[in-house]
Amino acid sequence: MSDFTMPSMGADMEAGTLIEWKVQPGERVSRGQVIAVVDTAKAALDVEVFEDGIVEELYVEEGTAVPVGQALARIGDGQGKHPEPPREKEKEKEKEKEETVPEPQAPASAAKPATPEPAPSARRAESTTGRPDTTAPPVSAKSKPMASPAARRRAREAGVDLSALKGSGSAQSIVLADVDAAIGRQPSAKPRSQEMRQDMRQAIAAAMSRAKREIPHYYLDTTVDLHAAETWLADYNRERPPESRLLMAALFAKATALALAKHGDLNGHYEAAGFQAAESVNLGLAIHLRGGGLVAPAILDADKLALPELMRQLQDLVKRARSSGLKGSEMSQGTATLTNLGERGVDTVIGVIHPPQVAMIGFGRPRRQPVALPDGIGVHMSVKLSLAADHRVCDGHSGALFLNEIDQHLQTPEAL
Amino acid sequence: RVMAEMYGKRDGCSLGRGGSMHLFDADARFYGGNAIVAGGLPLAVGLALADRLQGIDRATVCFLGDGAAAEGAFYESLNLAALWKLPVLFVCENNQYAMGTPIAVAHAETAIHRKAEAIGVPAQLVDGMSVIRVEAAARCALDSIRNGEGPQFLECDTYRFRAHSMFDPQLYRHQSEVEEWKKRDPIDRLGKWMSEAGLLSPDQRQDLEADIAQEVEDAVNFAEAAEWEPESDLLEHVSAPLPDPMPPPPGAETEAQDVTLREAFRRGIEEALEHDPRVFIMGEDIGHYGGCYAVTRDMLEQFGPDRVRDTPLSENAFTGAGIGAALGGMRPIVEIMTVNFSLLAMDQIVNTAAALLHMSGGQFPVPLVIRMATGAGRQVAAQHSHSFENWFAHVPGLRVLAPATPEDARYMLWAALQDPNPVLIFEHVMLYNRQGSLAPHPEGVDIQRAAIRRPGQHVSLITYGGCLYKCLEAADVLAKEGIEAEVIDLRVLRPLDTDTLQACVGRTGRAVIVDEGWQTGSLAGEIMATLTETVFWSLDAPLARVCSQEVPIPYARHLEEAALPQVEDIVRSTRAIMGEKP
Repeated sequence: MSDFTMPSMGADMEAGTLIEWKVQPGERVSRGQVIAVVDTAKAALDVEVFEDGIVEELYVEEGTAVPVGQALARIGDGQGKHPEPPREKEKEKEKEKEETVPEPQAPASAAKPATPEPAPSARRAESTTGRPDTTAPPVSAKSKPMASPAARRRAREAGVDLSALKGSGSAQSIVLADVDAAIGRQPSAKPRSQEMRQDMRQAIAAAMSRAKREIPHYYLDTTVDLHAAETWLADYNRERPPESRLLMAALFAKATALALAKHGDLNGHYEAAGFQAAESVNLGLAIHLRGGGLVAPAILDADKLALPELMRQLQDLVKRARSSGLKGSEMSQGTATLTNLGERGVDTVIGVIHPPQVAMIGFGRPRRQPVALPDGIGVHMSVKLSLAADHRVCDGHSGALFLNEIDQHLQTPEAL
Repeated sequence: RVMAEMYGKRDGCSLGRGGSMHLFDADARFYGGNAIVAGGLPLAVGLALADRLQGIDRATVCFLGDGAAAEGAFYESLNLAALWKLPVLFVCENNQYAMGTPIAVAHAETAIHRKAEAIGVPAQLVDGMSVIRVEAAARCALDSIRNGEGPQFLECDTYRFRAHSMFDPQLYRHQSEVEEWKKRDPIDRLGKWMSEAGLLSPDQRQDLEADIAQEVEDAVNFAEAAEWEPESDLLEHVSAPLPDPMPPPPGAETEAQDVTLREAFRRGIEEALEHDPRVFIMGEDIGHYGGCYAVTRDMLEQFGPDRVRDTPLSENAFTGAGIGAALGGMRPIVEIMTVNFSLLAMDQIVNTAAALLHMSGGQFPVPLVIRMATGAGRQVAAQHSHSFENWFAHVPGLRVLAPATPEDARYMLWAALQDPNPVLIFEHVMLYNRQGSLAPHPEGVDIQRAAIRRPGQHVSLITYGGCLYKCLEAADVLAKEGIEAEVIDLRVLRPLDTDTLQACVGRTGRAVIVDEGWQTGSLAGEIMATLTETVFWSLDAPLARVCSQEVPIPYARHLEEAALPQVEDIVRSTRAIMGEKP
């Protein structure tokens, strides 16, 4: 018997809103079953249960915002009744949570309370000339960010968490411009869909700011000749109906996943305790959403999937990402991310790592280039492959080996 | 209706808003009781002055008690009446006690009429317990007044049989004293005298007394049956409405020209004197001296001593006389030399001018304009340099204006003279010499709205009067740093144009209020409170204010400057609330 808690579905997630229960008390559930839909700043996500059992009690009503780690429901054998409310069993709950929430990243950073404001430096209430100092910060609860009324109102309307923002106002208070910058919009009432996109913008802002603040990136890039891959792909697709055909993106994904499996120092999470290599390769895919925004759900065990299956999952993922049907585990379990901006017409991607991951692999636009061949000059399809990696974990040497590894795989597509 | 007023009913002579101390009757030209002892004397002087100026052959009778003879207003008013030979009969009912204080405890000279004589008002002492003698003396005095011989003073020795009020336990006198005076009861004596003279038979007297008893009975019944003024009408009769549309100034300039604000003020006064015969101006040193700030120079020659009237240094009395003259049909402009001196007239402005319309149940609007110089910067130290605008802006019934531009200096006076209510115009001393372009304003200026003197989207600087130009200068400095400050000139300090303030600060989200008054209890504080109440959720930074240092304005220039809001203070305060960027 255990409590089913609000999972962390991203390093920057602190709370989610339970939108829908997919189960009722008394129902039997099995591991991996989607039992709830949770709205995070990024998207509405399906949440799976991690054990088999019977839903004994739902603690939280639909529409409630719940901090990460708080119990949502009790899963048991159908006999159990808690003699007391779950809150009073904090210790036990915490223990259970560790067992039941298979978050690769420790929830410590995700579920951490609002960043406390730096203690305001003591200032005299009145300057030497006797004029009161209007900028002296008010005494406030440590955990509550100082924000102007206008900023608070806007944040409330947009569903922005003020504690994630940095203030640029007097006494480092959060002002309207800070909230506007976070949600990237001009003030006005907007429909829900736009609001969600703004929430997503804010989430991206928070994650990317953290990346650039905390991760010492290093960047490498190389040009990969796609002649072999292109030829092989044309052969492969020739006899197949459109729905079974492969795209170059699948080759990129598989080649990358295989390389990640070999280069553990690029595949894993960097948390408070330092880097921990992942045991599997869950390849995150940066997916651009129509109307703006970006998500990076993962294909689990991508290195072990055959190309057709990988292709199927890839298409499924894109489709579900664009209809807000992603699962929580897909959102949080990526171990490295691949971004493919080729279709947007750029040659090179210089990525920003998605924390707590340590590598971002980028593919640009495959294009025909003149290449020097042993027997002269030819025109081959080629692509710029780039890597943004966390220098705290590995050095350029590893990164170079890694890129070469991907290159090698793409030269032998039949082995993918 | 008097009884109904005592009951506080709507049918009372003051709609139940005055009570026993404030009975008024416009039809009977009864200008009311004044619960500020001696407060009615200046009014009587003003009413008589209005009659004199309008050529109306009429006398004003003013009743006062022995207590009033200890007030400064008594001496000031009698002096004005004697000086200007006004048709006023002062009737002092000396009932031996000022509330509970015996006359000998309050006065070194207990013969009140001798005080009047000393001031120059011919006076008589009469037996106030004799109707006949009082009537005879009054007739005599009024004859003399009607002959144009100036005011007269009657001291009527009398007594109050009953308590001062229903709260009075009468510990200060013996019942035997009351009984002794009762032997001289004027009603009994009159009855007796009339019977003896064959003017009143016992039957007639009985009938008369029955009639009187019936009248009282009827009055009580009327009062008890009368209705209450509904609470929804509470705010009625605080201020009479402005004319709509406002009459435009009759002598407006048709071409733009450069003028000093002094010149603009002067033209406004000249225009009023030229075009409205009801207008006259009075104050200290405005005639022969030409005005302390030379605003009224040469006007004495132009308009004569009746309409450009030098007054003695009696702020309380000549301000009250202004109120009386306004009640009497004139449109007086009272000039008070500086705002510090206006405190001597505070009683007349606050207790009478502002309250009269309401106390009288809407019967007596007071169309009076009071101009006064305000503010510091001329090294005239603490008793000539303060800014008390907020004290007056606190008072319902007043309109308080603060012109700062050539247009407002030129045209606010005309608008103020159209207001049926008392209007105070504060002229900042540092603006008189300021030169500016006076644009043609054939329609005049309004006296209800604040004005945005400089647009800006990042922060609102809210100010008025002498600080306007400091704010504009500060806005220029801030603009160089990328901060676009909007400058709002309040212009009207009461009633505050809160709509404009809300709209502006609602838009900018930030405000710095600049006010030359001291910070504690300042108008700036009031504006901050209003903004917090109304646009709190639009505020993007703490509200800030720049006020004068809390010190009496010192004489030495460097200290005076340090005490006042300066451009750099405004810039610094604005920067502080702006944070990192606009």
